[in-house]
Amino acid sequence: MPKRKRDIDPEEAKKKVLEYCLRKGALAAGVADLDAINRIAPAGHRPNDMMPRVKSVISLGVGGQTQGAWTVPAKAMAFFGSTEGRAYTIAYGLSFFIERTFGERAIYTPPDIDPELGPRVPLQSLKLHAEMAGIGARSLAGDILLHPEYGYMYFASVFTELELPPDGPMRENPCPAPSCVSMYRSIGRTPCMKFCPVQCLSGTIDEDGNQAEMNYDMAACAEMTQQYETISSVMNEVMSAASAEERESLLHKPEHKTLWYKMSVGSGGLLAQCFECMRVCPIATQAPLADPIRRLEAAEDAAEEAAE
Amino acid sequence: MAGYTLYDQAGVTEDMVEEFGERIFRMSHNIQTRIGDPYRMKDWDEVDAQREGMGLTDGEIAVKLDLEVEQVTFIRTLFESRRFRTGHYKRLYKLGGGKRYRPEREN
Repeated sequence: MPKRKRDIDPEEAKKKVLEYCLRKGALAAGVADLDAINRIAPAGHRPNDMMPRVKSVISLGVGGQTQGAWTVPAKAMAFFGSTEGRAYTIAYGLSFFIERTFGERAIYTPPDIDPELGPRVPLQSLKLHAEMAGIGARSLAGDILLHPEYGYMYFASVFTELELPPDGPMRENPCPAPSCVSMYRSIGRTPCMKFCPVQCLSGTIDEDGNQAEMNYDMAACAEMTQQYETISSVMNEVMSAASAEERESLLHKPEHKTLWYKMSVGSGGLLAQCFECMRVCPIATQAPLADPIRRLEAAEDAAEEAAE
Repeated sequence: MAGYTLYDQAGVTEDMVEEFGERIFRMSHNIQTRIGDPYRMKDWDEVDAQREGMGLTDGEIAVKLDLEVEQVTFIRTLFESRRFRTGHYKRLYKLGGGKRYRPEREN
């Protein structure tokens, strides 16, 4: 690693870091308030539990799938709906960029589960990092973060010993959208609540049209979104089968054989494969710049204005 | 060693799973309730007041139930697996392409 640079201007360094993220394809990036994360995250899951001398947490978000992808059958969307890999690639590059440019240590934060605590406890909450960096706000859809311009994004984090001035959380929460408030006033549910295939969402909206209460049954959601958890359950069913025929039919069910396919090809389709709440969310898919074509048009307009 | 199971290692019996399973599951972040928007607002009093609603860690649950952390982790993860319904995933195969979930179609 290059020698630590002296006299780094934190504001200038932050500008370079965020420019790197956007240049590499992130739609939004920010620096989270480390003190706020430490105040919220439980012991064992704070940034300094992973990197003892961390001074800054950078969060970045990339866009979801194309507009066309939102229209395909769910069983196809399950294979290619997630775009988080792009976010991780940018974060990985950013950690090298920081070390090379500023001579300060940096890590791409593993987005994975805590191996001591099972499949539902992450090492770090990338959601909390993004929220505290001001690039997403919690929605009624199980606290999935939404952005008023970019809609639904995938997030990645970088921890670094480089000191950067933090951003704050968003001033406004885009969820619920006005059309969701209208639907709630009419039937007592928002689209995400109504169309969830396992009915894992419920909540209330107050008189001002803001979120009053959000209820999320993560265990039910996991049945649709964390298919890797199915594998041990299926194996248990197979081993407990009462007869050879039952065992054979359990092992060779098409949906069970698909699990082996996904594992053998390393498909990301083993996790986060259900998009039904986001499919019907007007912010996730219809926010002004959620659509990649609109983003391109906006970028071209901005370039034209800059050239004039 | 014959007969030495993960139950033994964690100091858990089936009776304990029966007694604590549902409580631990509900106290963990498997079930989450958030009132208002306290994290975004940095409303620390509300953040603290809502820790139980948003789900406690195994360590926090252990203190409340007078158990060891390892016992809570074992019971929680076992209970999560036992509740996991492998058959629900098939619902996704019928959705999308203009079709939305309707509970009446499941019966």
